[in-house]
Amino acid sequence: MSEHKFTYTVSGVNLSNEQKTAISQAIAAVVAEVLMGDDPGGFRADSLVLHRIYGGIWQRVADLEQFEKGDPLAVQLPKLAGGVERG
Amino acid sequence: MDGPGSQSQTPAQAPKTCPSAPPEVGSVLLGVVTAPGQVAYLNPHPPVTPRLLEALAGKGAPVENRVRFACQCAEGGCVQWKDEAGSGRCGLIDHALEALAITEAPRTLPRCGIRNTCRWYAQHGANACGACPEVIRRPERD
Repeated sequence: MSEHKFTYTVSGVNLSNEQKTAISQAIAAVVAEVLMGDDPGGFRADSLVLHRIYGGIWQRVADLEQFEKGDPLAVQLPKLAGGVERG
Repeated sequence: MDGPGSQSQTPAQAPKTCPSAPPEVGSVLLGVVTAPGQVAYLNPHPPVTPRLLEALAGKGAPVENRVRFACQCAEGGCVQWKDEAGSGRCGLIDHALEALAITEAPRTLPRCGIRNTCRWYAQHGANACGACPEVIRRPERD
């Protein structure tokens, strides 16, 4: 599995913790931005085609589509608006 | 200074890390989704700040679709949690492994900085690492 390590050294000055944190975060942001590329579109997760996270719950897409067509009573989606989505 | 009881915690009891956390302050940047089913895992994991989120959002793509975050597993405070706090499990990785029909671990694993405490790894071992890159918090709609 490929790995790429980048090392940056700042010498000759005393950096404050705030500066070091800011630099570290700026580097991370640039790395993430480069990896994201310029494509503004989103990716589709094929593994989630059959199931999709909705309201924090893993739901069958077929049930979701029925629900979103305006017939919420036809499908019982558990805890649809409840709980806190973390994962 | 260690908190109360921290020295008596076994690795299995130690707080676990969620590899599919929301993009909010308190989370860390785990990696970037570079293609469907492919995540570039970053080390170290920078903490999420409003500035970082702003920079990522500026790329145009939904942040939750293209970036993965990690945070401490909320266990019973998360709707993905099954059973009681302290004795339950994450239902999301169970579903993902089943949907992907993953029964074996990848031959090589990425250098993931959260593996030691990863909730999914704790439940399924390296098999979870096969499903992890497939997970996108906000899959693009048809």
